[in-house]
Amino acid sequence: MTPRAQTDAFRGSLDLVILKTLSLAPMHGWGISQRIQQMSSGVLAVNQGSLYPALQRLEKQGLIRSNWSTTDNNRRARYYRLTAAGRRVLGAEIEGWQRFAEGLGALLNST
Amino acid sequence: MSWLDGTRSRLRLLFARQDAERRMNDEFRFHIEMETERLIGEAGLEPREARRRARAAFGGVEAHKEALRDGRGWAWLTGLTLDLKLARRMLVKQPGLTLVAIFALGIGIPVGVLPLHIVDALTTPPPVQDGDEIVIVRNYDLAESRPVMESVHDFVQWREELASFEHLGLMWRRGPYNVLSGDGRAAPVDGAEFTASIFSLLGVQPLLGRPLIEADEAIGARDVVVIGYGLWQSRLAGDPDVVGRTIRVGAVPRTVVGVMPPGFQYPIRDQFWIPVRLDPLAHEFGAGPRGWIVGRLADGVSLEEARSEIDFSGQRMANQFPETHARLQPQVLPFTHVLTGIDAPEAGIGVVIGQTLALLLLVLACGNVGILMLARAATRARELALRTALGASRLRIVSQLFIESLLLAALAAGVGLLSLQAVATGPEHLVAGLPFWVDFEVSRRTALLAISLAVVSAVVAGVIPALKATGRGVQASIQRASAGGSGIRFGRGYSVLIVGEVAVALWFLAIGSTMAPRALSEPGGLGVPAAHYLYASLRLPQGDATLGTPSGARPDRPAIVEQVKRVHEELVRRLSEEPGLGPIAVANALPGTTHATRYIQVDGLPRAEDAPAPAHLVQVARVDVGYFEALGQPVAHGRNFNMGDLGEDRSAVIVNQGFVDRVLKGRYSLGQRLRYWVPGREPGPWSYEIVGVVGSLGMNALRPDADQGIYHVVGPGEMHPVTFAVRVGSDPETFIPHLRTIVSEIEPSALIQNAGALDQVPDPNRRVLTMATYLFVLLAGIAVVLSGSCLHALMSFTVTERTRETGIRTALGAAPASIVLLVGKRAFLQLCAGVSIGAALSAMLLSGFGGQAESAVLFPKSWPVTVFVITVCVIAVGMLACVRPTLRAIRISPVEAIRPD
Repeated sequence: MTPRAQTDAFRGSLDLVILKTLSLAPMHGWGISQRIQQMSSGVLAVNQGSLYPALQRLEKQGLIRSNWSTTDNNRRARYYRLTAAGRRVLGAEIEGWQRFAEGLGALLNST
Repeated sequence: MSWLDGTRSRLRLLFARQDAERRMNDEFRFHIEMETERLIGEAGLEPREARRRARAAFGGVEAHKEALRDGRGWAWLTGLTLDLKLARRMLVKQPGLTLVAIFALGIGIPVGVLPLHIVDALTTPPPVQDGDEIVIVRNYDLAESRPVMESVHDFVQWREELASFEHLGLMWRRGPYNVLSGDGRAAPVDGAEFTASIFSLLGVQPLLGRPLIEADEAIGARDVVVIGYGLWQSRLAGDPDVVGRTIRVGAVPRTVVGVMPPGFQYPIRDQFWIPVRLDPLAHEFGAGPRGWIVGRLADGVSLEEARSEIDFSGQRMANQFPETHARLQPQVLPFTHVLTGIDAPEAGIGVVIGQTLALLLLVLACGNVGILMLARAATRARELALRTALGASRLRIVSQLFIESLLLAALAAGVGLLSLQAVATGPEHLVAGLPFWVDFEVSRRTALLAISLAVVSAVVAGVIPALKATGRGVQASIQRASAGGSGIRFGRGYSVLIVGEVAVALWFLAIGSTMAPRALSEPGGLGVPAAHYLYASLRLPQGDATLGTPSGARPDRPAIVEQVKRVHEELVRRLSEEPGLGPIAVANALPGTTHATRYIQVDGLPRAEDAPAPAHLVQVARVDVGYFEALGQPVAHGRNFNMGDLGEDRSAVIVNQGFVDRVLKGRYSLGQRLRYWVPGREPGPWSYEIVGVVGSLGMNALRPDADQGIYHVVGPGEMHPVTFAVRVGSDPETFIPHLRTIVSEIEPSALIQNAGALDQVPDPNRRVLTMATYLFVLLAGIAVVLSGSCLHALMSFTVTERTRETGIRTALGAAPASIVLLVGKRAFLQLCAGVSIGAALSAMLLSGFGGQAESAVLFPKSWPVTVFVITVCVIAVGMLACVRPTLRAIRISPVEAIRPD
């Protein structure tokens, strides 16, 4: 897959990736982008122009919630955490995504 | 609860915009700082370089911010705030337009809501629990198109057989009763007769004592009364031991058994309740006292079910007694609807017509504001074209113009509602005669309706002109704007509106001004120093004579006549004994009040040349023997009335000087014979003979020039109510309390009404005429302001559109007159068309009425002069409205006008 194609596919699933990242622990925006990069071994890099609108969107949908808190090095940062609704949606999305990936894999592997 | 989280977030984002901006900045700064630190720590970059790279990696901060602002989903709110700011600025910048638009819509919107507002008020259920379940049950006479109020028999029958109603009761009112309480004063008080069941139906407990009970209704039971809080406080000094005391209601002493709490004034504004005493056998079917049958829908019974049951009963009765019941249709109607009369078919038609006219007026007002908005849009053509060129969509521009008109309409609705409230809470007579819980204060529903109409008005007055102003392509708009014009055209519809408004303004003004001299002048030629005379009307309520007897038993007429005669004679005697009082003058109409008119023929006198009928229209009054003497107007020729004229032969009449001058053309002779003439009837014998002539005594206060009348003589007992005047000195009002006492001593049930100084007697004809005149002048004023503002707007628009052309013409040496003609032609033509139509309509109406003697009181013969003067005035006002734009056109500098932008 070319980097361009990877990015396009990623853009479609950014909300899912953010929800997944936040399912591990509450995190600030920069932390989320770093964690995504780490978890994807550097394959997926989040554009800030997409990250913050996505966070805002998810918050509006009530899937995540934010609050201001202090970081380890004593800085004020906005932390995002998953809501109960977000957790439910994440479960459903992962399931849907897996079914889609399996289907796609089956299709691509067929001869 | 995801929707709750979502809603909370939205609300937070909406209402904390500044806070959101600050948080967004903090968040972005934190992100860049963290990335900078990472680059310093992991890649070993210099802080400065690390910061540069972090910022570069973050991308365009402003672009991200915009994305987030849009993402808040309330971006339009920012636009709305801006539009509101712009709109406010425009309204302040052009105060004339703003005021005129608010004036137009401030009249249009409240008038638009008025019919429904009135209907709402007149259908408000009574303020008791489940008040909307209280109904009136009645028969409707289909043959005579009227409700049957003589309902004693219906009540007895329905009370026995109908299951759909609880506490079915009967009530009636017979006007005010004289109440004589412990303080010795007698004064008229409104009260009602109730069956005890009505107290159960309303479910209101008395403050003291008990309500009426069934035992009170029995014939021969003790005479009791339940009094209202107001009467208790004002006439019984709030006596805590009032229960058991006796007060006299009409002629009957009654024991007070209860006091109702404040606010209990059922059904109209009543202050005491006495029991109905029912004896159906005393009346034939369809006779008896006139009252309402009131009930409460039984538990679980709907209005429709109740109607079905009573319909069935009605059909059964119609089959059994076809002669009396075949034409009767039973009805079940909400209580308030019947009391306010809104159930009447004509009220329904009135509401529909009223609402249609009101909406028509609103549409006119909107059209008017639309003209102003369109004209202003034309003057802003360049600004709009530039905004379009810079990427503003048509929707964006239209929405901005809409916001401007919305702001205007909202202000107008506010002003209109405040005015409506002021009127509603002002004069008390607005609610006189209506159930006490009915008021016309602005309700939430009315306010909502006004807001809706404001939005619709804003669409009509703002969006339509905005679409017209922005309907062309970007290219064309820019080209037009740079050529000095807007390309906007005022269509034919707008011209019709302006012409119509001018015509209506002139019509209203002409009619109002023609009526004004009569309506606003002081009544003249009364022939007496009216300010020194006390005027009053003495009434013996027929119902009073029946109090204490089975209700509705009709007293025999001779007894009433005898009673009136006794009271009349006693009144004259008692007043003659009062020191400082002049003799009493009794008449059915006193100087300055409305007199009846009739046609009369004079023996040997040819028909008047200009009279439409073979007779003369004269005023007629019936007076007592001492009338002229008491009013200080001695008989000039012939003789006065004397007791001998009160016998069988009633032929003697006295005429006034106006009669001699205008009817007899000065050829007066005693013994001249007269007779009345009724159109379509064979004239009778010459029954009357002139025995004297008297000076003018205000028989036609509205038209002293047509004061021509005849007097008949009547004796005591022949006139009811007894209307009289007596000279009391400088301040007649001070004598009224004493007069009431004298009268209550003569006859406890007698009421003194309309007491006051003779020069203050309200003349209904004059009041109607004055109000009509004010209304016409008010409407004319509105139409003048609106049409003037439209002409002004049209001229301003034309001048703006033709700035360049005017400049070129001026440069080529055109005279100012030709410039005026160029820019003012259309406005002038519209003004002339409007004036011509208005003058023609006024002349048609006034000449049509001019020939009729009855309408001469409204429209004097000098109306053509009035119409001419008004026409000139309207032309002057119209031209005045055009002066400023015309001067602007004349002063256009060719250099400025032709200079390329």
